[in-house]
Amino acid sequence: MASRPPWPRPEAVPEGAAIGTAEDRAVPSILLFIGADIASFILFFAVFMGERLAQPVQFARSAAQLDARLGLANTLILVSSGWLVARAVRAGTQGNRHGARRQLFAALLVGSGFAVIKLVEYTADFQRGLTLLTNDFFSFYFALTGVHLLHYAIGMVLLGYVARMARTSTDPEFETWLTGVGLYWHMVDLLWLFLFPMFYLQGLW
Amino acid sequence: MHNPYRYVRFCAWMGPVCLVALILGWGVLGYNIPPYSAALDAQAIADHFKQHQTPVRIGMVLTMMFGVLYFVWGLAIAKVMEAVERDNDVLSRLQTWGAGFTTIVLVLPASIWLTAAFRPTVNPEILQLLYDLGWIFFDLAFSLTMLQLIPLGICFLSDRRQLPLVPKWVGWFALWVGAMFVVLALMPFFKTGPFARNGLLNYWVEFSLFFWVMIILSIYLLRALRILDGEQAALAKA
Repeated sequence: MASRPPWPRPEAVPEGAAIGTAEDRAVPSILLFIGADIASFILFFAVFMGERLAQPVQFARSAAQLDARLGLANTLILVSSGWLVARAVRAGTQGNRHGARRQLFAALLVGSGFAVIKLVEYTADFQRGLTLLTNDFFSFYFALTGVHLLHYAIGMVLLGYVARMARTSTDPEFETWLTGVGLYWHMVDLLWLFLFPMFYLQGLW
Repeated sequence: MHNPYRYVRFCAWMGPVCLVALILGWGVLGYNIPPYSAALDAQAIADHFKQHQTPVRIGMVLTMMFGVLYFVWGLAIAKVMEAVERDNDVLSRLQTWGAGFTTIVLVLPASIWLTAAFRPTVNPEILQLLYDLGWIFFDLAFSLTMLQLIPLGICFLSDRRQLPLVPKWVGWFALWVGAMFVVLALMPFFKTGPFARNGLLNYWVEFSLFFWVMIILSIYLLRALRILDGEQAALAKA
């Protein structure tokens, strides 16, 4: 994590400046998107936990069929890429576009491991006959990790786009993009931190 | 006097008119709040069409008549988007086509349900299939509305005015709804549970977002038109 939050940047809001104008709003508007997205995932989680209460044994038995080591590997991958993105945001907001670009490429490289593991996992699941229709646990598992994977894929494309932007170093919107995409990527990371224990660990012990 | 926003306010008001007609015709008279479960047998669906044939017919006729107003509303959105666009009109044109295609999503399933209500005495399995067909089209054609909401969101977010014509959060909201529509893609895989067509997540959360977007966009569309009208008046005076 960056040692100081990238937003609000202290130099962007001079002391005594009028607050609330469009130019120097303290909170980036992407937080509405992130807030709404997290709220809907919280709802998904609540529905999952509700269903789980009704059939705890089946849910625990199903969870045992997942490989927690792969889930843990993906957790480490996302947390590391989140750390790299935070470093990229810090470098970028300090004017070091070259450094930001390097960190973004590292984040992309580490992050791509997530998709590889997830696809290996899905393939193995299908080969064992586990699908969206197997039971309620696997309905949620495939639906929620699938929606999360879509968020991840969008995030990867955005990281690549910002890395490309960092090269054309004259674009004034670069910092806004970098900060926004960084926040989005932390959301992808955060959601997985809930998905992993919910699906892989819960009910194992 | 030259007025580039002549008729636009009228078009913008057609959104709320369309919304009221949809809630009344499609929702209340059509018995679609919430829909019947996909787990029900054919006889239960047949009983619904026999019992409610008159309200369903009226409701679906209303839906088909007023559905076109969605496009009229979409054109008003396009006129506001044009005031924001800098380089070209790609986003507003995509939005206009998206609104136009969404009109089909409103009109076509209504005609399928109307057909069922028109001959409620045929084989129950045919009625069940028609009911399913209507819902499959209604839910799964979400990409056509995505085509409207995502360009719209991007456009309003790229607004460089000191005070944006449409607040940024509205742009993000439209983008989020457009993106979250993909959850509707899970609907054909379930007959019960939260992702089924009458389920908590599919119907009450994802599907209802369509109506929330209409309400929020209508409010801010009319507000943006007031700003644009004011700018035109100031120009005329100068």
